[in-house]
Amino acid sequence: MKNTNIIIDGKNLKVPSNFSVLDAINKNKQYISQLCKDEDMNALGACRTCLVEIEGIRGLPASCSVPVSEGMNIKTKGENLDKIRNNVLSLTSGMLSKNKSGKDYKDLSTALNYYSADKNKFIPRERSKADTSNTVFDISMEDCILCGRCTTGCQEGAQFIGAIDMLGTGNDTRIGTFNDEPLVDSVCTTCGQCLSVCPTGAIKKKPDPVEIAKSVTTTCPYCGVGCGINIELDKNDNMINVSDDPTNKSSLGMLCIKGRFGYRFVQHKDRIKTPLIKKDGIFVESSWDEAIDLIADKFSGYVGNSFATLCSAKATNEDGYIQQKFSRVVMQSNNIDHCTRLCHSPSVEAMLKSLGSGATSNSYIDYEESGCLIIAGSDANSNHPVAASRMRRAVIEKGAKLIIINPRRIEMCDYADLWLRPKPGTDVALLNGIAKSILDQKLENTQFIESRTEGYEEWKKIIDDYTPEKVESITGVKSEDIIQAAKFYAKPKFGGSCLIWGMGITQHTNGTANAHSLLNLSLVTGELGKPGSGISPLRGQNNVQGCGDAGCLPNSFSGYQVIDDNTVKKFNNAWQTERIPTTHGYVVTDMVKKIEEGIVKAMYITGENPLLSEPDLNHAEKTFKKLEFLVVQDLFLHETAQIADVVLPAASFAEKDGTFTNSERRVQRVRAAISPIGKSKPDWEIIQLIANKVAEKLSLELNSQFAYNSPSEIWEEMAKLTPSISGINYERLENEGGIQWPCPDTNHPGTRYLYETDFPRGDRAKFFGYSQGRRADEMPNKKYPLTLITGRILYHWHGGTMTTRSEYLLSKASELEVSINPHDSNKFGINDGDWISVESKRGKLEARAYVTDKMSNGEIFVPFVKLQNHAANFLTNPAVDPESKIPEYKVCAVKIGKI
Amino acid sequence: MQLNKSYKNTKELLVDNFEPKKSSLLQALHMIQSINGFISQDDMITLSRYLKVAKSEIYGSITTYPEIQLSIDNDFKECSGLSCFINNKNEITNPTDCKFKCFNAPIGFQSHSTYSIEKKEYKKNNELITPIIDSSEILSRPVLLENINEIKDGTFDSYNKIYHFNALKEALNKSPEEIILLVEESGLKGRGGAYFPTATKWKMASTKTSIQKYLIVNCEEGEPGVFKDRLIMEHMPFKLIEGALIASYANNCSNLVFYINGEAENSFNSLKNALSQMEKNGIIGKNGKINNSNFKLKIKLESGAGGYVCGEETTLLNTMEGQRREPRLKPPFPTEKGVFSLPTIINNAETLCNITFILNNSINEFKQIGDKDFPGTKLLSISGHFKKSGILEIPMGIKISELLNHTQIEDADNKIEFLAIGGPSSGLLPKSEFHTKLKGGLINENGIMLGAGGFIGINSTIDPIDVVINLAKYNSSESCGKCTPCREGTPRMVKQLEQLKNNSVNNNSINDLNLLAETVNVASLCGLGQAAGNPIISYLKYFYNK
Repeated sequence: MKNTNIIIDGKNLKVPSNFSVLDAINKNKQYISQLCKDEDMNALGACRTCLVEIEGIRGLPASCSVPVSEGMNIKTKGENLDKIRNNVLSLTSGMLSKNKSGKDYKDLSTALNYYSADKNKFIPRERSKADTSNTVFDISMEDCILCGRCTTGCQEGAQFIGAIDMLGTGNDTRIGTFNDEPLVDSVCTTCGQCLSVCPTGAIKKKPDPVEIAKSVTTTCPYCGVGCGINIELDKNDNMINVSDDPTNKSSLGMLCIKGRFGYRFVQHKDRIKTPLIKKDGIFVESSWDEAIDLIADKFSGYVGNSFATLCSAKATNEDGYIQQKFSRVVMQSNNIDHCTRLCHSPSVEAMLKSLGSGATSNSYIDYEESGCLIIAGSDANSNHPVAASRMRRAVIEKGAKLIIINPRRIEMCDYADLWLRPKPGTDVALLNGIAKSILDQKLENTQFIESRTEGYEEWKKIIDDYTPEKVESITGVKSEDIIQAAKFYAKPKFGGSCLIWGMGITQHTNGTANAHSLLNLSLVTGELGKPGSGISPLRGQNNVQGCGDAGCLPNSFSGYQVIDDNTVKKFNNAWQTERIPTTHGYVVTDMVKKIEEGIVKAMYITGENPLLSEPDLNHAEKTFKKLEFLVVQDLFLHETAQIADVVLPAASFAEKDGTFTNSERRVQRVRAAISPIGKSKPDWEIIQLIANKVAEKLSLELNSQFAYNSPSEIWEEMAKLTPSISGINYERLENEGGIQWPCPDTNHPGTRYLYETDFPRGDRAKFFGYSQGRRADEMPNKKYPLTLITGRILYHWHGGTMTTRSEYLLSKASELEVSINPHDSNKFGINDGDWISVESKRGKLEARAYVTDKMSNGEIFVPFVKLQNHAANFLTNPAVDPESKIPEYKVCAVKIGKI
Repeated sequence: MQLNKSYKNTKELLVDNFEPKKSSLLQALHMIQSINGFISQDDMITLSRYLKVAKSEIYGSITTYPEIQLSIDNDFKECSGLSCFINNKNEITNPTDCKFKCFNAPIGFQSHSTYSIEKKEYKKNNELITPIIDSSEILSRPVLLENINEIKDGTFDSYNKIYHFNALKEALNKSPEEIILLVEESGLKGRGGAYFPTATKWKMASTKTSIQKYLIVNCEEGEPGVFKDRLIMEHMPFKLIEGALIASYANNCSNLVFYINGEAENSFNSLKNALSQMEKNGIIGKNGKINNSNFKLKIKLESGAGGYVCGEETTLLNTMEGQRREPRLKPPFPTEKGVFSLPTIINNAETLCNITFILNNSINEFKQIGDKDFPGTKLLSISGHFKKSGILEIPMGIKISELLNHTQIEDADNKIEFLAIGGPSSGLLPKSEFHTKLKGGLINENGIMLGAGGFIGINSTIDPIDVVINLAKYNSSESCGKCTPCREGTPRMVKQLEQLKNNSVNNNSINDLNLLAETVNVASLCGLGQAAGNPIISYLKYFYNK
């Protein structure tokens, strides 16, 4: 970047040539009022308080809108300038509430004080009423100076939600929603972007904020998008706020409601504060020594195949790495798995088979550069809100085509060019139909198919009879829409095409077939391995990518190094042991079976709650109770912890250091903001204590293999043994921010997208063709006439263990809601708002009826979260996909009735 | 807007007529409103989905367009524009902004009909014809109104008979650079009110390599008391289009847009008709080829939706893109990054008519007219207490007194005491200053500008303070609301002027009022705010305590 020489208040300066005069003044650390300019957004030029004098330019230009030029002579103070600017500030102050005394108007108060401008010169004028309809924050027009930062943040400046805009003109200008409705009735998602940019505090969280004493930058603990957050603390180390981190490369200063307002679980009174040992059916508080000793005593009796461990996709990479190492080295068991089995195992299985790697191939920025997005079986607005914002940017700002595949009318449908609404369980037919139509229209990428794939001819035969007409009869999707979708995806007008999917594809008994059918679309068109294209299974947990990367899998070590004689030798050498078993271990769903069969007898579960996340919960509970010894390590005494023999208090993300790896393979730092709650400890410390103690009981020499002093030491070891992350270290993460793997050496900048030249499985990716099988294991019948679809809602995360302990989130959704089509509600005599029961042959729940045309006839929707003891998983079907072993959470047969 | 087809619903109408882009918003709103009379909530939702624009943004934009209604409005209103205000003997109870029928003042208005308050009769808008005032005594040779009587029926034949589109043909035989040079040598400056040298603007856009470039003809005439562009569009459309085609060619433009005030329906129809006549007669080819040359152009008419600020060029660009009707920051200037981020030249309709003259004649002939430093003429919109109202073409540089002496527009028994010149943001000029020369830019040191050529004469029956209040109210009601000084300052100016009128002031408050006017002028974002203090500054100088 070229530099330009300028003079500010007599001082000679060299600044980048693309700077505005305001940028230059700020860089020079000379104070100047600037109420409408947000650091991260374009200049709006509305507040007119950053006025300056520039030699040779008439009047008093606003410095935000003047680019620097060579030799420019700028003054930020001067008699006439001060007079005019202060009068503008007085006019601004005249907009504010009648009683200003003692009120802090943040940036505006700072400016009024700095320049000694008369804040009472103008009598306050009438303003419109405050909007207090949102339970989380208020928009108080009498404190608003109409700078436009909030509306920009809500729309093109960041989130592309568009709940609020500037309305009206002149003195009637206001911040408001469509039709001037209350905010709560608008499309507002309570992401808080508006609040974060408000310069006067007109938009503010309820109740009034407290003074911030300390702020720590770390990574959000919710979904796999991996947003940067700042944890803000008062002087007593209470977490009082979470703000966005504008420097984060994945989130670009955005957050969603969970990230910004869902932090209260950390210091919630329900946190487990000491180890608990169950004595005569009752938990008794114990010391760490006693608990560890007991665990070691027991575990040492289950070395080998009778031991299994579930790692946590919420914990850090370092936690996961040490846990699998403990299991393999000390317990001699490869029975290691984590929740990916319950979300994306079909995607991972299919991608490993077809391509050789189970990760998202592209980055979020590729959404923004693509010409067509297919979002299949994913309600990204609810589950990955910040990634969804970047998808909306592609569609709204860049004009990308958007195709939604979903049986439910999700909010993203508002912006869709095509909404394909297949009957549940018919995805294979639909996707094969799109592929067939691509071939029929000769839109395939012949060069890519010939040079970079195999299995094409065999696959072509399988999909050959999926004509649009036939597919219409199976799926209910109109044939012309299938043809149009093929056109949009295969021939984007600019950039490439992105395939994005979620649990709606995977959580089926034909999940792997679905995933393969999706991947085949990207192979037949070559829409991966280049900018603006790619394949994205959106990851649910903050570190589900990293948990797998760290080797928390029954069949591979870190970096997906599959367990075989060679790798076992490598890791035996590295870990100075000869104990690692060479046979692959059990996946989660098999573990459950093996408990029933009496083979798995002891389990160590960290940061997972299978008794909420397993299907058919009544049955799952019976099974887990069969374990002879169960240790659960977590933040709260949840359903699984309650049946444990020992419960260990783990420190939350806010209390420990480490790294998370997000959906775009970006390794990011997690930093402790507060000390561990009570006697809780970070997972890696606890695992290390257990490892050493078990070894002691077994008289095992560990050769200081579990003597880490910090997570960075763990990372160093993992990086050394894992080629894909070898170039990443804490020092780089500190200096450069998050880095995307593969990153083979310390000079490597990280990788934006995979598969540019080849695939981990070799030169060629492989087509695997599937025919449409049975739609689902359990179809509606006379007794259970409706199809239950499960999913998520924006305000709760997963089972709700964290979000139900965050008042702001609970205030948005405290009851379970069942969405029902008006036709069905009529048929079953149910009114909107009725309290109803939903029953499958396995169980029952109660919830509030929400009558909506977002659902098709015969289909109802219940979110996954457990509220007031009711959860969808009491109803769901444990039948699994034969290849990936994922349960069919998405579809089962139910009946409903008024209570 | 006339439709050839009826539609089942709004969605069908949109699919049939508009691209699914935000920039379709304003024209789509016009079409829906022309059918239903207003925009319903369902229409807005349909628009939001079809254009992929958030509902709040659709609503946010609509609430800035005075002419887009969210319910049917058939109320009788009285025009509060300055000419109507000073001519209306009664208090205006249900006011509406200037309807640009100043030559018929005072008027009322109800659902597309104009009501003459004096004659007590309704007239459809197209029955009201803008009068032309004879200028032969002051102007040796008309530039703009040349042959106006022969061509004012607006037909192709009458124009073609005299001019044969020779200016265009001449231009197409020259290189674009030659034409720019010609315009530069002519010294032509923009007639929209800012008087920026036309060739300089063109050159600012000519350095850009973009394959697409826009010329937008600013016919969004929205200043109370100014109605000359309507005369041009309705009575000499071919002269305007010819000039616009020449300018498009000179600047290698790919697109030409006539952006017309939303209320000026007759102007819109006149230009539409003229363009189709030119197509029929092969001046504009089916494929956009101009007069069978290699030069191709896409031509479009668009309607604004009211409001003074809509004529501000960056605001105009925003409305073309479906954004709120408010100005953009400059830089980037439109010549660099205009509509759809493409290089864009925005020229006033009157400016382009001069181009036709220059190409039909010679630079010297043009330069012989008007002032040595400021060649050419200007169309004044005469109204108020003058005996005659209408459009008068004057040579640049003429003294006001000379103009009054030689045109017989003043009534000898009803002398004009002061003038409101240049629209709502210029100033008041007292009789003692009638020696002032009229030309582009500031005409005296107290902020009085010729602007777009509004020329309202006011006699002794009106207190100047009432005129200033009328103008200040207008500026306040037209503030788009984007920047603080204008949004907050203009209503406070009204309040302080009203206090001044009621004598509840002291020296301090006069200083405050002066400072407020200066603040609004200096600190506002766009040209309109930057002139909103002018009437007050000139009032305090010439009339207060005099």
